Amino acid sequence: MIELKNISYHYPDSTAAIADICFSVSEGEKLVVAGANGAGKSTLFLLLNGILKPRKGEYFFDGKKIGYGKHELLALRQQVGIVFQEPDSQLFSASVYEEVAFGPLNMELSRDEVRQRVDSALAALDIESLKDRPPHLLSYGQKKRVAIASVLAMNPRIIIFDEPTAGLDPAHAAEIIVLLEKLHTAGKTIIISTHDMNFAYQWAGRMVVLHKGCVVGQGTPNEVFANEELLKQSQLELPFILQVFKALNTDAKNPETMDELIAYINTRA
Amino acid sequence: MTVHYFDCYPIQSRICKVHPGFKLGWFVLYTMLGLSSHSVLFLGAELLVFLTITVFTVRISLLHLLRLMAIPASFVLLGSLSVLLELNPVHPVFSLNAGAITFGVSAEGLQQGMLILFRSFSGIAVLYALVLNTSISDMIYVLRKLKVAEVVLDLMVLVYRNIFILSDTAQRIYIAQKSRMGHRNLKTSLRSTAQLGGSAFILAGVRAEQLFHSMESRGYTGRIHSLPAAWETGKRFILVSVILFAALLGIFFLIGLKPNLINS
Repeated sequence: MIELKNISYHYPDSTAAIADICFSVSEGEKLVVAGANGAGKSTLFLLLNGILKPRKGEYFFDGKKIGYGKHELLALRQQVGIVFQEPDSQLFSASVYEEVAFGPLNMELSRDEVRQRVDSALAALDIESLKDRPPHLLSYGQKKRVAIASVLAMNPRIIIFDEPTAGLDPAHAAEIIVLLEKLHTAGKTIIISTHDMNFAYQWAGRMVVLHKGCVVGQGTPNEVFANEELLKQSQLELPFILQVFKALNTDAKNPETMDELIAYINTRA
Repeated sequence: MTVHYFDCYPIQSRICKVHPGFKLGWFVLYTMLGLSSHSVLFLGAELLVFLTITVFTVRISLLHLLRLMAIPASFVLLGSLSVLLELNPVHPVFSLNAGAITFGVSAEGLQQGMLILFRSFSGIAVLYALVLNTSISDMIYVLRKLKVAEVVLDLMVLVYRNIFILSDTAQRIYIAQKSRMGHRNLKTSLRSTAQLGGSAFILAGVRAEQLFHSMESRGYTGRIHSLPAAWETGKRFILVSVILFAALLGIFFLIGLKPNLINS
């Protein structure tokens, strides 16, 4: 679906944010992009959405090379939505309804279609009651949900979430995780960056690890977390489930969820 | 912060569902009435009527409304004072000697000053009735219908949004400075305020750039489109507003055109 070939991006001060990376995403994947702060995750996301133009390399979407003309970029952005980490950087309209309608209106859909999309996005995030309120008067968690609804209303095939649970309390974070699962079940391809390795381990189908703008490792969560050198280099911590399982000093297959870990401990007891 | 208060009122307004075109129309008519009047009494009556209307429709206390009106009040008071006070007036109603110079208020100056004061305040009251009852999105919709240039409307949306970003950034910096004793005395306060001034704009600029990225990612190509809301302008609103306007128009023709009421 998405394929980046030897893409590089430099900031104006010549610092390489993304250095010669090759990266691919398949339809229906649940992909986690992991890495320390400054590893290049956010820059990679901006490249995937066509906000940043790579200095070098090629970007293929559905096998077609992306050009950076106005129409091609608009078409790309309809397919690849991005929910930014900071909702305050994303919300600008005078009301929640207008904010969510912004993307669909840019797609030049009919008014009825826009209204229908906005209503279903508001319902999916359970924020219909906020529709007339100005976004800047909302709580952080509510803003985050409005930001997600504003991308969801564009009905993209791929949705990128930059740290979707950062700054949320556990209850709200759990709601977002449920929503991610729903979106995936509905056929969306989901790409997430997160520092929460417990969540990444249990949720991801595949992980890509970035370090100083390079892809230094990728594979299933079990493959990534088995590579101690990779974890050390990219400053990632072992998920709690694996830390406990490691302390049990067993040769059994790694548990994939907390329930599996508890069940295993019970069988040993 | 004060700016945050303004746009939470239109949501709770009793007339939030009324088409913004009506509200803007009434605003223009009442402003014209106020500007055409030379009577302090009529302007005072208009001021009182609109304070009452705003308190009733927006559901806020009079004290709170007056507090909101205090923002432009300082400019109006200073402006009126400069007209009111004269140097060496010929026939002073009131005067004060300060050496060789005499400050005073002449009857003409008093009439003029009071007229400016009341005209400004009644105008502000009419404006507040519009602003506190109409959301910015409704306002932009009606201005778009009036064929105001798109670039002006888009700038209105972005300026509106960036005011909040700027005020929020400034507030955060102020708290960060205060927590490290940046405002413990006049000297540190002056230095901190200067730093705040510079940094708030830089940080707000960074956030504005992020905002632009997020808009681009949702297909922004230079024009912000909008959907018309579902307004329901009730017959009661039209009836009450027509009666009110007719009453004020009557008062206007009775006393609103006579300039010397203050002396009579």
